[in-house]
Formats: sequence, structure tokens, C-alpha cells
Amino acid sequence: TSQHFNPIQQGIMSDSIFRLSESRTVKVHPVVLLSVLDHFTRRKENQRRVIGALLGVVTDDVVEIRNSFPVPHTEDKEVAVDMQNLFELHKKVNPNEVYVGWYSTGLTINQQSVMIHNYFDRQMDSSPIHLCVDTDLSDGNMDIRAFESSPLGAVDGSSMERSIGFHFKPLPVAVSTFQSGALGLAELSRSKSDDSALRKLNGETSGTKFAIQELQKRLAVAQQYVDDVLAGKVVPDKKTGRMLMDVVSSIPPMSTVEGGKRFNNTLQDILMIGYLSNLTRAQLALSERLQFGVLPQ
Amino acid sequence: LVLFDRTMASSSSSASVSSASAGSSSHVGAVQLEGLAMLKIVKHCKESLPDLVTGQLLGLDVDSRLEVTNCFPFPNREDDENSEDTGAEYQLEMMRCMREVNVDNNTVGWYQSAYLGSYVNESMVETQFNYQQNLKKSVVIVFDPVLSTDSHLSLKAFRLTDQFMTLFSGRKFTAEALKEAQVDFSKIFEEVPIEVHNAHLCRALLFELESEQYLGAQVEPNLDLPATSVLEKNLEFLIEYGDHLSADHSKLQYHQRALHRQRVQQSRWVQQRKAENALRRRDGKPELSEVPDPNQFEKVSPASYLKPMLNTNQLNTYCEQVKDFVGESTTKLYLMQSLSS
Repeated sequence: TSQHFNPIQQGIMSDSIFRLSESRTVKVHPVVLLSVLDHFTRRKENQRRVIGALLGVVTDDVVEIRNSFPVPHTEDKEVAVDMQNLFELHKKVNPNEVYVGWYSTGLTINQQSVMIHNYFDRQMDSSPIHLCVDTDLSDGNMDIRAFESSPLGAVDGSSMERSIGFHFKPLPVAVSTFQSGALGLAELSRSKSDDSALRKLNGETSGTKFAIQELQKRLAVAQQYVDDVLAGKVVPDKKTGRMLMDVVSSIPPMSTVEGGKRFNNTLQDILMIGYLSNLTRAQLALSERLQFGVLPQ
Repeated sequence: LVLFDRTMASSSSSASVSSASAGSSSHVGAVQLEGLAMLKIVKHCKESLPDLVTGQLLGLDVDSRLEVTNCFPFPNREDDENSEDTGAEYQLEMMRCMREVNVDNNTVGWYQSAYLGSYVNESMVETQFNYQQNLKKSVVIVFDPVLSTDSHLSLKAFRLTDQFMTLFSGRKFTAEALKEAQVDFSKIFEEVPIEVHNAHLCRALLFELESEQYLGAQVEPNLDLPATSVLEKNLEFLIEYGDHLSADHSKLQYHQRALHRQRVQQSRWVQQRKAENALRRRDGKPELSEVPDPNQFEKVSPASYLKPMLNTNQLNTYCEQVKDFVGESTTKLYLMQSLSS
């Protein structure tokens, strides 16, 4: 009998049956997601879905997925995987990343998934995480779901564990942008709305320009809200009002003499250093010209 | 700094499949960087701070564009005897695994992390030279994790100019060689603009991430005044390199003086010979040659201009960084002033 588990239904069941077990949170790095999608885009003609291994770190109840690599596999009756090589290679670069689970594209969990999951379970110390990325874009969304498996059914006293199946329990997923992820993700997010899918990597000033534009937008929203409240269109909310007041008062006063002096000093320092560096550059350029003009023999 | 030398570059070129447009010109108009490759570079460099690391870039070259579709990091080299072999092995194995999952496994360059812009040194130039010799269109991508902030990624792609390549292949950096090749410090590198490219599925992912569930993935635009420590460090480097440059300068001067001394010695020797010959002519003895024997005087090796040139380039880079920093800080300062009034 094919054991096809609908994770949603099982999720509902899990709340009543397994309430005592703590569920872990899963944090996924954006690199991992992009690499999964890349693997899926490059799959062979006849493959319905692709799988790969997940690497990362496990702390108390948070599993952080930092890296991944694709695993070539065939999915007929048997499932064949070959991943030792890549794992060794990855270990050389990041020695503290260990197996934390495996990923697959598409939301179906079937017999093969169970086999693969058990295979990973044998490789790892802790229980593996199964990450599903919905590349078919069902419901118009790209869902990212993580599951943990636990066997259903009675466990005999004998050495053979007889289970009627495996229950994949969904876990909460968060996309973490710790440290390294944030930079790249910001840059990528800016390019997502471009139709041509291409975007120049701009210099520093455009980053500032973008930030200022964001600030303007938010100020406009805040101002709109205040106007609406004054005009009586919107019911005033005490919390929002207090937050706005906090924001406004947190701007250091520059109009006073003290503030003005600070501003001028900082400005002068910065401008002076800018002048010095420009002077250095001019000097370098000049010396280059001289060198080629007057070369003693 | 991890360095993979000539054996690495040559083994990578033999492992890679030659691209279709091998015969076309070696001009690279732009580098098209996949989002995946960019995030991987950022992640590897940031996680390995304070070490500086390198890695390989994979992709395709299409007309005048260099597409970088994937990359993988190099492990830190241990100091054992067979480190070169293990490095080459690692690379070959990695390429083979990549090929199995249909990743483009043509090497198109390498990447390097830099510390506040100090990336111009001989090893980097040498490595890039080797890469560019074997693969006409390779680039080096320099990522500076220290200088990058939330609002700006300091990611640059460089190639060596053709003039510099010809100069470097001669391995002679005397003054005449420089004049002939018409290379000065600003013409060592040419910067290639980078464009970020995302497959459509990835853009769907990015839109998804912006939805309510993943609020943690939002990145707030950052308008903080940049820390003065960046400026201080830059100034420190500027001073240090100014020192290097003056040291080089004095070395060159010393060399000039040595050359001059040798010439004076030679002319004096010729004078003596002339006087002797005049005497001999009078006495009717055979004359001695007046041509100085070059082996008689100690050799003064010609000064190499490579190091001063690289130092100058680095100094210039620091100045540019300071300039960028100054521009951005003044903008933010004025913004703050207008907000508070």
C-alpha cells in the first residue's frame, strides 16, 4: 500500500497527539533556498523533483540550515543516492557544518521520501529535517515547509521496529538573515521587480538614495496618518501616537548652538580628510606623468 | 592569504570544457552575476572573517558578457607537503560533482575577500595573470566584507589590462619596459561592471519572502552615520602605504646613485687607459683596448618598478574609498540637519 501522507492533516493530528514534544524551529538561510531553486532549474529532463542534503548547525531547539548541496538521485523503485564526496569537500571549507537534513522540491511526501529520510536518519546523530520547497507554485505561493518525522505505530520489544508508517510533523520555518545574508538579500530584493531580471550592482550612493526614498515613503505614511487623525477620519490610537512622539523626539536637536557646533565640526573633519585624499591622488597622478617624462638613464 | 598558484590555474583550465566563443576577442563588457553566486560569495567571505579567503567562479562566457552562475570556496591551505596536490584534487572533485548536477563547470575566474580595500598585492596580480593567460576572459571578483554595509555591497570585478599583461609576461619591470608598454599605475586593472541576474523562479522566491510570514527576512534600509573607525582605518592604511612608497622611492634613488657611481668609475677607467695608451704610443708599445670590460665592474641590477606601481595603485584605491565615504557621510549629515530643523 502506498503511504501517502498529507502533511496538513497530520499536522492537525499532531497537535492533539504529540503536544508534549517540543517542536523545534527551523531557520533557513536564503543561500540555501536559492541553491535549491537553482538545482531544480537545472534538473534533467525526466526528473520530477530533485533532492539534496542540508548542512548546518543544531542548537537547543533551533536548527539553522546554512548550506546545502545537490545530490544526484534516481527515483524508480529504489532510491539511489551518492553524497559522500560532496560532503567531504564541503567539510574542508566549513568544518563545523554537519548534516541537518535533506530537501526536496514539490510538496508531495511519499514512499521514496520516507526511505530517503530514513537513510539520512542513519547518517546523522539527531533527527533529520525534511525541507520542502514548493516549486510548482501551487496556490500561487512558493511555500517553504519543514518536517520532522517520527514513526507511527507500536514499537516491539524485538529488535525490529514495526511501524505502520511515518508521520511528518511540520515545523515553523523562519528565513534568517543573520550577518552575511542580510547584505546580499537586500541587493537581490531590489532587483526583483525589474522586468528584465537584470540589475546593475550600483555604487554606494545609490544605496543611500534608496534608503532616503524609503524614509520619505514612511514619513509620508506617518504624515498621512496624523492628518487623518486630525481631520477625524481615523480613530486615534494611543500606542501609535506615543510611538510617533518617541520617533520625533529621538532626533538629536541640531538647531541649537551646541548641535550646530557638533554638526560643523563633524562636517569639517570629513571634508578635510576628503581634501587630503584628493591631494594624495593628484600627487600620485602627477608623479606618474613626471616619471615617464623625465626618466634618467 | 590563501594562494593557489600556477598549477592550480593550469589544472583548472584542463578540467574545464572550453567554451564556444574561444576565438573571440578578450574584452569583457560586463559580468553577469547570478544571485546565488553572489550570496555564496558574501556568505563565505563574511563567515571566514578575519581570515581572507578565495574561491572559484564558474559560469559561461557569452559574447562580451561573462556570466557567473555558481561558485565554490577553496579550503584554507594547510602547511603540509602535499598541499598543492590536495588543492588540485579538491578542485577537480568539486568540478566533477558540479557536472553531475548540470551546473556549468567552466571556470571563469576566482574571487577573493579583501580587508578594507587592501587587495592589490603581488600574489593577487600573479594569480590573476595566470588565470587570464589560460582563460582569456577571466575576472577576479573582490568582495570587501568590512566595507560593506546594509545598504551597499562592496563587490567589484577586475581584469588586468592587455597592456599590463604584455608587460607582466616579459617579467621585466625596468623603466624602459614601462615606457614601452605605456603602463602607469592606473592602467593595471580595469574594472568591469557587475550586473545581478535572477532566474524567474528566484524572483518568485524573493516576492514570497517579502510576505507577512517571513518578516524576519526584511532588511531595513540603513541610514546610520557611518562609523569613523572606517575613516581611521583608511587613513592608517594611507599612511602605511605612503611609507611604502617613500621606501620604494629611496630604493630607486639608491639604485640611481649606484648606477651613477658605476658610470663615473667606468669613465675614470677609460681615462686612465687613454693616458696609458698615449704613453705607450710614445714608447712604441702596443696599445691596450679602451673599451671597458663589462665584467670588471660589479653589476647593478636594473630596478624593478613593479612594487612601486602596485603600491601606488593600492594607495589610489584607498583614496577612492575615502572619497566615497566622505560623499556619503556629508549626505547623511545634511539629511540629519534637515530632519531636525
